Amino acid sequence: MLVKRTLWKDTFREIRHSISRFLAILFIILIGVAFYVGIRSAGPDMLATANKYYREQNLMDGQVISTIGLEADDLEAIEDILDENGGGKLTPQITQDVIFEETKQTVRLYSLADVSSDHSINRYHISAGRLPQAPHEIALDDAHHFAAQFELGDTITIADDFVKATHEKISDDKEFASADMTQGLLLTQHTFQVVGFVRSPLFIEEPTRGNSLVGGGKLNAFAVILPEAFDTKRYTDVYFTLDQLMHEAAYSTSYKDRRDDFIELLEQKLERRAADKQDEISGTLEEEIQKGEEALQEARTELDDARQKLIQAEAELKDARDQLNAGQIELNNKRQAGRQQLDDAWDEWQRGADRLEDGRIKLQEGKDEWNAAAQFLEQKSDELTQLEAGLKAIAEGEEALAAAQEELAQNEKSLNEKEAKRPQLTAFLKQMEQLGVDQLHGFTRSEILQQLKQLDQARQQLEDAKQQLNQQQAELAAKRQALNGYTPEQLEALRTQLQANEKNLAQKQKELEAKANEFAEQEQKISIAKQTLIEQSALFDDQIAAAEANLAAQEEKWAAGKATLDEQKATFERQSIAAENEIAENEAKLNDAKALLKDLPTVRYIINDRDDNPGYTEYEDNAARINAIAGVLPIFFFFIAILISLTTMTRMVDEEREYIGIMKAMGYRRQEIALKFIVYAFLATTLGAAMGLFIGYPLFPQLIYNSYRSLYNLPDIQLDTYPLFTATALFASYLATVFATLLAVLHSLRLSAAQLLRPKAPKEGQRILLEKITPLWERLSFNYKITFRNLFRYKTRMLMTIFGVAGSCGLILTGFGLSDSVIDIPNLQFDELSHYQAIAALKEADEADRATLEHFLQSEEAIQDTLSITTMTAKTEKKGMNTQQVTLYAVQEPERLPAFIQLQDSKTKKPLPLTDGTIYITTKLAELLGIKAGDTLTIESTDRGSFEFEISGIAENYLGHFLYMTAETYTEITNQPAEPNLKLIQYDTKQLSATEFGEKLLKQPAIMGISNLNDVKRSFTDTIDSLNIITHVLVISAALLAFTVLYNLTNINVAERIRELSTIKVLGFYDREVTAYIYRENIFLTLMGIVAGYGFGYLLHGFLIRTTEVDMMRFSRHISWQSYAMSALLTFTFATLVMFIVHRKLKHINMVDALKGGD
Amino acid sequence: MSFIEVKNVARYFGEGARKVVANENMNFTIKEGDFCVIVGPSGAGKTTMLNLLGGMDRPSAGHILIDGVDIAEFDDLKRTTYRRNDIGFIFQNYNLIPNLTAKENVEMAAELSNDSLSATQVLTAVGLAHRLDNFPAQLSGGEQQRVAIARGLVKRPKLLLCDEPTGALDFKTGIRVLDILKQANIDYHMTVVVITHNREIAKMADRIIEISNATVRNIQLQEHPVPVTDLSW
Ligand SMILES: Nc1ncnc2c1ncn2[C@@H]1O[C@H](COP(=O)(O)OP(=O)(O)O)[C@@H](O)[C@H]1O
Ligand SMILES: [Mg+2]
Repeated sequence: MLVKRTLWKDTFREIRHSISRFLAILFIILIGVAFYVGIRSAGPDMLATANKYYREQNLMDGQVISTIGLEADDLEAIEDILDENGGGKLTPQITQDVIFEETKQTVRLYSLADVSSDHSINRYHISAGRLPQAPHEIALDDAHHFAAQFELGDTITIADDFVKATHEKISDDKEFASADMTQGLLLTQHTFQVVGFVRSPLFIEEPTRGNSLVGGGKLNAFAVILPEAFDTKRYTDVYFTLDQLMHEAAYSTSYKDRRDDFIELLEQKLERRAADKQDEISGTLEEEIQKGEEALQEARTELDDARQKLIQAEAELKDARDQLNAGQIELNNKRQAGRQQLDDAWDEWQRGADRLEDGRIKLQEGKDEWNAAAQFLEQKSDELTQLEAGLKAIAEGEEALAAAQEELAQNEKSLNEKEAKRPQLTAFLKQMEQLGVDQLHGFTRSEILQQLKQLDQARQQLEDAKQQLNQQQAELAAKRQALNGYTPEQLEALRTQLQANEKNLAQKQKELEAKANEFAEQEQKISIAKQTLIEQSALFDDQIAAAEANLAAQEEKWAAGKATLDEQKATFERQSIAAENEIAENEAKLNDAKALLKDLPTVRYIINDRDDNPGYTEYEDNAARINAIAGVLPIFFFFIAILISLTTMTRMVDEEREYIGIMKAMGYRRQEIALKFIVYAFLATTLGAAMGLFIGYPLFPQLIYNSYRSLYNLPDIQLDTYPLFTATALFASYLATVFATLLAVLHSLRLSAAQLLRPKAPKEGQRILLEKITPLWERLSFNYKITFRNLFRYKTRMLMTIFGVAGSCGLILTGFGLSDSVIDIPNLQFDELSHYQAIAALKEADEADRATLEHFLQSEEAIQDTLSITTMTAKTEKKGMNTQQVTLYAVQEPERLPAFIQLQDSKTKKPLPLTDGTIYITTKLAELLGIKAGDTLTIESTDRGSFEFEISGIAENYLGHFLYMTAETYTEITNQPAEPNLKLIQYDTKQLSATEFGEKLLKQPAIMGISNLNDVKRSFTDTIDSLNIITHVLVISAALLAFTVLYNLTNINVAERIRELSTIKVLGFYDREVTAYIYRENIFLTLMGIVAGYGFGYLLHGFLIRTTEVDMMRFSRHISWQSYAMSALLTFTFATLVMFIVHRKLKHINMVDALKGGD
Repeated sequence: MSFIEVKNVARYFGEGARKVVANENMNFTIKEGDFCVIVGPSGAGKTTMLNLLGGMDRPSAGHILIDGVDIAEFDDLKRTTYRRNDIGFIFQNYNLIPNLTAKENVEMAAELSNDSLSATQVLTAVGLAHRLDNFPAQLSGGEQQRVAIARGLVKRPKLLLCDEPTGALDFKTGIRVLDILKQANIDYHMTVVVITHNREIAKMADRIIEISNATVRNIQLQEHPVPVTDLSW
């Protein structure tokens, strides 16, 4: 135990004393471990981060797009397939590419699925604001280059072409909607308000969004709106996730295998469904056309009928007019004749009337005579009657007078009797006055007074009546006097005479009356005649009027008839135009439908999976590249760590030689002595490794990941530790130090104590091989002699330095070389090999569309030349190789091909002439398949079977796999006509921007899509950028490596030769001479290291190219001289930096101390 | 005027409690062409003094005038130049560069100065003409010390400083070495300062400076120094 305690104490003291050596081991282990675990875990961390993000955003496993849109039954069918395969979820949606008016960018609009659902696929990650909640709201792609142009609250406008209100496209006409999906959907509104910025797991790559059929052909961004903002009820596509893939990590092989199995199955099922659907659609379409044709025919007949009727009505009207005119003439004649007759009748009647008037005058004269006679007679009769009446009245008056005289006498007598009572009454009254009473003897005073008064009155009345009678007697006497002469007899005679005269007059009256009667009869007659005439006249007038009225009525009726007809005509005219238009329109529609039927959009279900998302697989490639590097790079560091530990510990053991000797002499056992060194190494390693793990796991993945983040749209990295990496790192570390220590110490322990206590003989100077070449050696300056001899004096250190520097330089060269390899591709592929600016894919369009396109291509000034190609994709397979897609180009005018595509041998660069019968394959595919000129190749096309042919040569190419042949050869091989379906286009990019070009060309109905070579070229910049990250990783690693190696080894060198250095310092070497004395060696070693590094870098570059290159690409194997120069320069720079550090250190060497003593 | 003038020189090491006084209140002069021996017991401060004279170290206080110039004031660069041009050093343990032959070791020093002697010549002069191409490891101690002296002499310094040059040598070899030093002193009219704890050696000096306990105890001039060959210990 005591031993142990002393040992520990000793060890710690040792550490304190040799802290820089302890730290050297600690740091090299730290760097080694940090580097190893850091870079090793970067790739897995990257994938884990992406996987977590995909899971959180519920990234789809796949997507089904239908060329004709999806309906409920489609969704059900897909769901059924999912259910048969372990279940899954669907999110249907609507997408449409549109152009933003303000920025003229092509943007893919996605309908927002129900966000509240847990199962909603491809959930958006909201970077700012929120998702749209109303149809006028929009959330935009957060991709920096795009989002920077907008702010929350901005209003964006969609170009007119895509908005229903401003566009004539009849999208709500559901008749042919089944075919309309390929034509594009419309929006219900023009403007949208920006409410948020989002990221989509579909687009993890920052700049790339894929291609589009609108605008310039390139998709700039995506955006999210509510489904209500689309003017359709159909879905364009549906995302799905598979339950069976839920727990499979993205990018894992098991994910891919299971996914691919399912996709294959889905493809088969949907292919069948597509065929059914196709029949169904063409069936309904045919039916619709049939119906439409019938309706059209009907409409035409109807129109003709109406026209016929109208003509008939016109004719009838004309007849009526003629009749009316005849009637008018007849009436006029009738009126004339009738009027004449009537006039004659009136004349006749006038004569009769005149005669009657004469008669009337004669009759009046007779009447007047008679009247005069009758009047005289009457007068006489009246006089006589008066006389008779007077006589009679006197007789009667005398009789009445006698009666009245008698009555008076009677009244006088009764009054006198009453007068007798008067005195009594007066007496009573007097008594009463005396007595003063009012009543006496039953009489009241007033009664008495009354009776008295009555007596007075009666007297008076009697007196008055006497008087009256006297008067009457006088009057009668007067009257008798007046009738003096006439007696009653006289009066009788007179009467008789009068009566005779009266009789005569009556006779005369009778005669007159007879005459009057006769006249009246005449008058009656004539009046009747007049009446008759008047009546006849009136009748005639009536008749005429009636006839006229009748005629007028008929005229009116005709006019009305004519007006109606005119109106009908006008209406017909109008309606017939409308009807004809409608017919024409329907006919056009029908023709459209027929055309549609003729080239009915092929019902196809396109299935995409995650691999089709831009950037998805490239991200994996990038992680794989890091993994590839992680597989190689850290090995150096461990190797260096082992070597450095070994030298350091050997040096330590050497320094402790005396200690070991003493311990041994004292009787300690070997393992006890060795323990100190092992503990020393173990402590340094443990501390270094712990720190290395602590630093490496987060540092390198973050560094690498953050470099990639400018290219990818992903959240913060998901850091993790990996037991396997940790274990490997620890194992290697302990191996490097403890094992190295054991080696060093065991060597010394084998020596006897006596041997150990004697100082180790200084390393003898010796001549080197170079000195044998005397003339050269003699030429060398003194300093160089020393340098060279020193170089070979410390062989291990020399080798280690060379190794380290070579590693560093090689890494840098690899880094720059990787950039070279891809930087070259765009230039080689797009400048040297391809001499066209765009490729246009053609639809299976009809002749007219093709002609329009040809005309456009000819007339468009900026377009210089085009070449027609028949293309076909096929598969090639080989054991142990991924199935490769190869694009076959059958060239229509092969003699013009060199102006577009330069076919040249990939090795000799000699042009390969394309003639009938020659078939060329491109480099990468030839490499993958391992075939050369003269070999036979079998390809399998997707729909035309498999073909076998001989390869004539290998054409240089870097991107994709191609087969070139003439159209004739194509026909010969495939037995099919070579229909052009692709155009290579040369145009002046200065005259026409890619966007303008795309816009113009995409308007052509014959064009299916275009791709600008410049875009493809530009997409390489991304690849180059991502490889630059690798370059940076490599250069940084190289720098670390260079520093570690050079610094540590120089330190050991200095420590070993401190006495020598002090000596030359004492001799008067200036500081820089001292540094140069030791560093000249380093420079030589560095130079040698660089040369070795070139070789190593070249090999490593080749290895990395092979591992990081994707199948579709051939990186250039060429490393530019600039990269060689640059890696040398950088390595030298690192060496120089270390030199400066060493220089400072050497400057402060205490030569006095170093030279002291005799050790 | 003296070639070397040491005035009140002190050199301390460390601080506070651990302060070590290696030299204090040192005062002496050495004339040009003197063969001076500084003698004193081990630990007296001789080496410290020699290092100060040779511009390898700076005094904590005082002045050291060499040819009238105070090297105590020199900075590192000037001191290096001073060492390079004016000083030759000979160590007790030779300090040859092991990877260089005898001749190369001398040549290396010769290259530092413009008017150096020929390396071969100097080595011949010290009796090593037959050893020119041998590495130090192949030479005896005396031979190594003679190479070291040749290295010190070759650039013809004004001052040759020797720290216990015979310390590791046997008597015979030691005499041989001292003889060569004396010869150099005469031949090149070179001022030589030899440090030793061996009082016998002091007898051959023109000037003897006794040091003990970090300071000068006695300075003694000898009109007639004893020839080297007469020395014995
Ligand atoms: N660098 C140093 N640090 C501390 N003490 C020193 C140092 N150099 C010399 N000394 C001390 O100074 C004293 C004189 O030493 P030194 O000049 O070497 O003696 P001498 O050469 O006379 O034997 C000694 O006690 C020694 O321990
Ligand atoms: Mg000493």
